[in-house]
Amino acid sequence: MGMGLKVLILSMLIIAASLTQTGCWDHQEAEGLGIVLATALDQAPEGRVRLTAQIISPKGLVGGGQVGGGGGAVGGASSPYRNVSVEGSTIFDCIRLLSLESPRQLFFAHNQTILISEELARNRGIEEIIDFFDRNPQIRRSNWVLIAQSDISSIMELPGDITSTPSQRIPAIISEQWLSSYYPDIQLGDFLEALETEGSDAFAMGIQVVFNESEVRDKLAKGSSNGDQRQEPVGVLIKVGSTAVFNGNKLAGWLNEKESRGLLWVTGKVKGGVITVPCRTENGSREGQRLSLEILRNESKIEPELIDGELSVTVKIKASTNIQESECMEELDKPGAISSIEEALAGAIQLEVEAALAKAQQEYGSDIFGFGPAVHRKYPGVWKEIKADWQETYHDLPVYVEIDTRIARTGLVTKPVQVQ
Amino acid sequence: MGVNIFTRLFRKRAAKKPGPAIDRPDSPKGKVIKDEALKSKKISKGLKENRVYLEDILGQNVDIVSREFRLGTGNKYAWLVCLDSLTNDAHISENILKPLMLENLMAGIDRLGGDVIEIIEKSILTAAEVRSKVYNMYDVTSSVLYGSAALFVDGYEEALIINLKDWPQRAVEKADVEVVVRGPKESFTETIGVNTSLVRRRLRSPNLVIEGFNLGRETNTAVTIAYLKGVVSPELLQEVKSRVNRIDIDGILEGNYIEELIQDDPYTPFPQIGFSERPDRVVSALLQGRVCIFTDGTPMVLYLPISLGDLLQSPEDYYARYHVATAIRLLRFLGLAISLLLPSFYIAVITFHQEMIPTQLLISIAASREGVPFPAVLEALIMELTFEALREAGIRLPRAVGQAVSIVGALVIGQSAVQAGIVSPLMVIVVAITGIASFMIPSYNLAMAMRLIRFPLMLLAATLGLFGVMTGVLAMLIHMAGLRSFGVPYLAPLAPLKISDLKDFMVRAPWWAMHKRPTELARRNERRIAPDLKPHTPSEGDVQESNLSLKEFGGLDAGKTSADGRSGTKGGGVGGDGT
Repeated sequence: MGMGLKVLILSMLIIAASLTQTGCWDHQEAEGLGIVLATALDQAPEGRVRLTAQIISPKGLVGGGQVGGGGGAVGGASSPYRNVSVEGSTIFDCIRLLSLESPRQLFFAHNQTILISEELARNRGIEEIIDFFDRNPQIRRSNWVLIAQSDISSIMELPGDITSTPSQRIPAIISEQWLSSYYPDIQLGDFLEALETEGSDAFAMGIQVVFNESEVRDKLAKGSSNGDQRQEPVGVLIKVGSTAVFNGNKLAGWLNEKESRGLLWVTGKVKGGVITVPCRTENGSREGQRLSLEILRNESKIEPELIDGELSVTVKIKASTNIQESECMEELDKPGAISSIEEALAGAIQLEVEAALAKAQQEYGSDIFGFGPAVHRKYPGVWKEIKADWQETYHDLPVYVEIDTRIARTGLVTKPVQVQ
Repeated sequence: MGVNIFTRLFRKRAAKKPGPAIDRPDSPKGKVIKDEALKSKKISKGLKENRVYLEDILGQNVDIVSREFRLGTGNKYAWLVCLDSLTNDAHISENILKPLMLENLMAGIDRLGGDVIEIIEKSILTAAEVRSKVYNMYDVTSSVLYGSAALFVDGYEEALIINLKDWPQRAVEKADVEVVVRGPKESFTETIGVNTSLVRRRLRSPNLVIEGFNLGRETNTAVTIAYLKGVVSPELLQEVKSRVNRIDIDGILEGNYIEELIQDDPYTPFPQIGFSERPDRVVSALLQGRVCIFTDGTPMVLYLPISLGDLLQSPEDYYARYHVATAIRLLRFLGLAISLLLPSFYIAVITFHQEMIPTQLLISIAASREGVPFPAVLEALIMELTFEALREAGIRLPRAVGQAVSIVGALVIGQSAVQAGIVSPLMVIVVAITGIASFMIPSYNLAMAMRLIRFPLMLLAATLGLFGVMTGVLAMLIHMAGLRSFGVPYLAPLAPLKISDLKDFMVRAPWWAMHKRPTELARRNERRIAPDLKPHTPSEGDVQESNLSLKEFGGLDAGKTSADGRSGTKGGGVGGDGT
């Protein structure tokens, strides 16, 4: 019973008191959170913003299998999600206004998708919209940024069969981006970086609602719809594709899917996808028959050059592919066969890149390729002089494309299927 | 039976003779006996006087055997006293009374002249262990109370103590607490002699020293300190002895009495002295230069000093192949972390850091918690306390009822609580995993400490989130880094980093790679294994040599072959693993 014990008891009391008196103030039970998985922004009258948040109902999402025993007939009472939307003067204003309607405190840390309507992106400065997402600690930089070509509410109200909420469906689709490379998978971090880098312009994914032709046909053939189907309007799908190109603060226009991939070739971000090249006709193939190549790898290098005060950019693209499908009569083990395919492949890539350049450089004047920053890095002194009117310089900038292609593997089948 | 007659006889006579109590004011009858008084009381020449004195002390006991008899046919009388509950009647009559009373040799013992006591000791008694030159009553009483017989001869100021210990004892059984799949299954018993024998049998070295003494004013418990001379550091031994000698307590019933009285830090919840019921573990500790303390009456033997790593090792680590042993050790460290941190981590993450949970998991957690009336902390505390209660009940309840407890526990906790919506299914999983993880810690001591520390950590998690948990863990680490067990730092191979000792910490290196004893323990004699024992494909010379030795010793019996074969091929190399 000496000093030691006294100190021990005293310190325990202090700890207990400090914990019980001050702790817990920001504690929040998991079930008390309104977990937001997707946030959508739309234009509202009088320069206001309409914010739609998709809140997950955990019980509706998980509970079906657990408590109800996989009934699925839980009905509308426990739908897996709920959209709440509100109009406000700023985004934060909207979010606080939502607390008037939502019984659970909205929790944005698991937000995965930021949808911005095309009108809002065209008419209102993207800076104002995106600042909240940059500043808020709950928002992750891995959020997907999508520009909606269709009506926001139609996208947010389109649950699927596999994933029951649109907010889960969109990231699931984006996770397959590497199978096509027909759109850039842009995360909030990349988007902000492109916006804030001198001389470069931002771009984002496009999203729209499209008709599912086979389902529509099916429905027409049956004549009537069976009522107990899901809420999803039959024959309608969410489609992610194409690229929204910004010029400075505002949406300038779109790149279609091939052009989008042209953009990705330049930035070296093509992770996969199919590219088709025409067969060589002299080998007995008919006109229009094609060879499908699967893209395996892509690297690129943007090299600005300053010769006699004349600025130009050379883009060096490397691509390696696999042969996946051939309609050609050509036998692949013949000498010269592979190199001729490689040549054709280079041509096909060239077409995509040039299409992208034509749109972004000539039509929109948006430096989404990052030529400006490349010049900045290589010629910092020159950049200081030209950065003020980079817009004009960029528009007339000569861009040379060098493409180095390789067929990495042809597979074991060297001869096409031939009916004897 | 005979005892009762003796005592009755004695009592009658004592009643008839009112003498001694009045004669001698120092008669101990009816008084509380002090050791000091006994120590100062010398054995007197008169047999009567000794007898009266001792019967005053022990005579009230039913199990006393007090026998006066004539030595052979002579005129000398002798008196034997012992406790029949601790000795063997047959042995008394066979080894003491028969030689002294019947055999003709005794015909003229008093006429031989010379020292009768010496003759009895040297020539007549056939018992194995006889102690002579005992002059004071303290030695007599303490021996008699520990199962020896005391023999007094009229006219001598000396007694003979004859060891005839024999009492009911539990047989050597399979280890209950530290169970292994491969390896010896024996465990210690409550009898210190048996325990010593189990160790001696495994460590047949003349350097093994087992020093004994008695502890406890009333219990006089036999306590022994075992060590391996030449391996143990003398400073450590000195320190252990001086700490044990300091102990002054009325009784020692279990090793923990000693443990708590000699451990370095009296407040820490972490065990600083290990215990084991396995002789092989004790022998391994001795070989590493540790000191072991045996306590009579408990099958648990203390070994010290220890560090945290030792508490996470199972003897089986050394019997299993080293890859497996290493993997299991890593699993055990994981188990340690889980049993300590999982509930608090869960609470912290679920109430403060929801952004850290993967989205899908958060959704299922939220779904499972919907409708649970308590905050996560309270839920966790309820479940953990229930679990601890069940565990405690499972240990304490009579075997027959144990089954019921486990059924009730499984049903109540596993299902009903969830169905009633009191706790979420995920919490049940967390508690169950924590429980399993805590059973992975091989040291019961350490597992208990972890169980205990888990609760403050849960409160910290509930109030300060992960920050609180980290604070708690850091405080714990700082505390552990400051702990010492008999001079050995508690986080030994880690905190003062000893690279060579890491071979036997989180991993278990193969035997041929662990050349040295733990450096903190055996500073003077580090080498343990000969340096070149790693098996390799034999070169040509080796093959020839082994062929030779095979031929040479081929005809001998198996035991001899191996012994000689080794010395033949290895020569001086054997010395390395001998000590």
